[in-house]
Amino acid sequence: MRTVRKKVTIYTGLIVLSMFFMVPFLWMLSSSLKLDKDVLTVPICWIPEIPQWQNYVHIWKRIPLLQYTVNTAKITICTTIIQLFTSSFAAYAFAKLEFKYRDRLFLAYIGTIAVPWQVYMVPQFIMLRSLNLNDTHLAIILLHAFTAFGVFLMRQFYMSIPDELCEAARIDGMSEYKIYAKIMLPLSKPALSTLAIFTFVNTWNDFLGPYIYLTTKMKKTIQIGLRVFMDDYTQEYGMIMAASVLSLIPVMIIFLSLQKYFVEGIASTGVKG
Amino acid sequence: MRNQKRTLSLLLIMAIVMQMLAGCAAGKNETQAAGTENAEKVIVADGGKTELKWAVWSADTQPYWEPIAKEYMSRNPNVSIEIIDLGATDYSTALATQLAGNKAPFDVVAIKDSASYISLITKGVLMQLDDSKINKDSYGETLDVLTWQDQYYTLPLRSDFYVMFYNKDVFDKAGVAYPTNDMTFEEYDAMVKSLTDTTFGTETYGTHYHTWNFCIQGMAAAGEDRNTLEGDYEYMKPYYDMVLEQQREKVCMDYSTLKTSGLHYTGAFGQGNIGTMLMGTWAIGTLITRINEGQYPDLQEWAVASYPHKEGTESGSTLGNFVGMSVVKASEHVEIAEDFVRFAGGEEGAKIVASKGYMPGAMSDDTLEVVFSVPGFPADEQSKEAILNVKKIYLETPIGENCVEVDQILTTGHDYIMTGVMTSDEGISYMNEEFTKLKK
Amino acid sequence: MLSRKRKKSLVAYSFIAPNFIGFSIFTLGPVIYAFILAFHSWNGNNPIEFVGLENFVIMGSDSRFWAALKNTIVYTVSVVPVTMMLALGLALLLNAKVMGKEIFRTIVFFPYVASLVACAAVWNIIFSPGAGLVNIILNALGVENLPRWAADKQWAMFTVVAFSIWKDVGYYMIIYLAGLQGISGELYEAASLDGAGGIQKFRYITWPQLRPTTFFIVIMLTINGFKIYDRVMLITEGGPGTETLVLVYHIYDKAFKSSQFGYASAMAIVLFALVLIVTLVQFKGEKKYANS
Repeated sequence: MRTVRKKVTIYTGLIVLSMFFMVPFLWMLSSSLKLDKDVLTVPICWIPEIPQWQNYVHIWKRIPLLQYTVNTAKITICTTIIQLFTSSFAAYAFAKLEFKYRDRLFLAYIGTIAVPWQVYMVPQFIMLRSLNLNDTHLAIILLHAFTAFGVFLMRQFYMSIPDELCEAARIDGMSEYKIYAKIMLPLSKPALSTLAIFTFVNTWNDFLGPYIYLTTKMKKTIQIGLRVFMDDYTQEYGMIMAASVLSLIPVMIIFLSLQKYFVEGIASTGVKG
Repeated sequence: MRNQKRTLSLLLIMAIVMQMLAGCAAGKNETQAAGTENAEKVIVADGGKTELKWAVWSADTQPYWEPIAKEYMSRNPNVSIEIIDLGATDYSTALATQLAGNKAPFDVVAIKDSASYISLITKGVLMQLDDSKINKDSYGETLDVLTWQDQYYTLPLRSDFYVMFYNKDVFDKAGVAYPTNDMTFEEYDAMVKSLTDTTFGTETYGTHYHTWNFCIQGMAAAGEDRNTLEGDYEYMKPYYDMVLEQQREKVCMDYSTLKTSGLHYTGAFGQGNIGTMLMGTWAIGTLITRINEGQYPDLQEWAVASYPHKEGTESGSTLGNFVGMSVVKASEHVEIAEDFVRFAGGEEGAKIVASKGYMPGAMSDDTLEVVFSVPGFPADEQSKEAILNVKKIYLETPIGENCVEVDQILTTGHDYIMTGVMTSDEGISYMNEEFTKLKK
Repeated sequence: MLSRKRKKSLVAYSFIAPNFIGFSIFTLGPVIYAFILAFHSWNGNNPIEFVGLENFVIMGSDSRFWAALKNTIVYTVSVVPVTMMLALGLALLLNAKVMGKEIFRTIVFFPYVASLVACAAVWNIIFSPGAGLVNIILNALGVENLPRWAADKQWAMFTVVAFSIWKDVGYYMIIYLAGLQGISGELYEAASLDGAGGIQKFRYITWPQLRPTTFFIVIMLTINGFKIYDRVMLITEGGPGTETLVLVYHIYDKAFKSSQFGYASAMAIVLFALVLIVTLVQFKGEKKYANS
């Protein structure tokens, strides 16, 4: 009896919680089907009287949404791949290897996370422009691929993997590179998936970076495209929300597919207790 | 040891490189400043086309940029103009960033607001325009308020001003006479109160104010003939008190609710339950477009009337702003750029702007007739008179020193007063105090 | 012949190199340059002038700076513990044998992924002082003097903090989930055999095993707390007045509206110093726990 009551409370709680978290998506969906003037009525009207399905058709013509999506995907995928590999590579050294100035270098990494991007945005822009990289996708990839966040996340994860694993491998004569490839990498699936999700989401939704660097229309990204509907003269919420809903889909696909990798970790690798 | 030195030297090299880059940028600026007024830049004279890059915003929705470029190109076949859209939100920030380090990614730029305008001048980015070639008569007083230290740095492509939008159906329903072009603020207040219906479910608002600080503060400035950059804000009290009372009695929407809901003023007016709205003439173009799209089925008959004036003064003073055309000093084609600016910001450009339903900078009665003939434009006698009668325009953000800092003080004070955190007296004292601190 | 230690160091450096090189050029370089700017005056175009400590002196009498500093600290102190505990709770809940946990995880993660603009708009509508859902409920419960939320001097910060927590908790929950996955199931089995109950398992196995993860989360929450900008902008725009003005907003204002890059950089240094101190303290704390 007690377990049944416990289960019911948990599930009810979860459902209430879900409503709480799902509200923005429902609002976005509802707004995308309304006339602009009806979007911001207070109190909220959840089901539009006459659903404006055409918003989803018009959006593709009003802005070059397909091109923007391709651009955004290109930038996001490149950035994520570079982040994943270089960060986990470096994090292994910070977590498991001994070398001079290890801690101080690591502190330098974390230090930069503390500096808001707005602060060094202009010097960075001027530098990239002098390399003739302004108005290129490469500039944005370079901006995002090497931030300290990835190294930090992976290092923390590696710290929780017992040293004994690596020691045993070293005694067996494995080089550090082999240890990384054959032991650490397979074990880091949860952390790598996590990092992949975050990098993907942040780059996909990034506005300021593409805004400052990309001036040619056909190079722009989805987030910039959305802003077209939000200028001083008007706010076309119907379009904005339709585009937002559409842009959510790839992100959610990535998230759902990577969820599989959140599986039981070390249990099967036989750590000698 | 070796690695420490290596990292250190790497950092040092980077720092030096940065300095060099900055130095180059600074140096270039110095030589330009030291030179006399605009050394002649070499124009591509070998028969190839000169390409001008023009920075604007909302290229898709503002219908005059492209036609102006096309018209100029058809008259000057050796010039090709490329329009670069920097987006409307944060346009001034993007523009300033692109122009940082004295690079010239554009030859001609559109100017969106006073703060950005002054900032670009003081940074030495904008080129002084040769005033002997400007036809000052076409502008009336609009051009004079745009000078800086008696020099011309921009020509107004558009010069919008505030009028009173009114929804005829709301007036008819309440049985109130339409506004005239000669209303005092007291008459305006009484009128909007008589239009108000607070019944739940069928609310009607007599008027609507957007959340911008100058909607109220500019009203005070225009009414009292003051410049908001000069402090001493007691004159704003009666205006704030009027609006606060209207807010309390639900004659207009609550500022806090408006601010958090982000409801746009055209959307509000388009809902059809707002009697009047004091807003700029740019909203006319927007309303026409949105109505044509079928977005506002509840808005039927509407027109404009003059902005209210203070008792004892004449009608004709109103709030306004501008869109300017300027030349980037570091451009390689300054002569052609300046010619284009004179075209776009002058009578030729004015005709094109007017044909799209927007108020041009070079305003003449003929050009205004073009505006009136745009389909959907309120072209009844009274609306026309309201527009033709404008005598003095007070800029939303006047041009002067410290306009950014003063604007910040004014915006903060406005927020405090309208959300009710401070009374109008406390808010005005706050603004006066901060202003005095600034000027020390 | 290189010494063994030397060889080890070189190998380590080769691991770091790809990331560090990119990092130095594209991130570290501009950051250092921005810090150098703190002792100069520059508007982006005119020559850079050295002004020594003048920017810091001006900061002392800048009332907006002090208001922003206070608000940023209040914000961070509120957001960090609550988000962390909520994230941990949710992770534990959704790691256990609950049916459909993948779906629930996705739902909790959702606000983080959804467009900031949409989320803020919804939040503001729900908390609208006029007829927002929250006030309607409170009114029905008989509460007088309904708070005006984002427009209320007392409640504006709360509204922003609550929004941030709601938006981010999914993100940190995922990190905790990854951390939980890394805990060996054998440890729990051994504990069960010893007769340990749920709470004891948590206290002696889960919590200590999660230490590196918790450390990461607290540091990221703290740093992100100090750096907060766009959330505040979209909910309250720093208002009413300056009640929710935060440091990065003031920095952004000075840099991009007033074009005072030197002064903005000086404020950034102060922010950085603050975060550094807090991070160092947290680092030392972790080292202490690691050694005990």
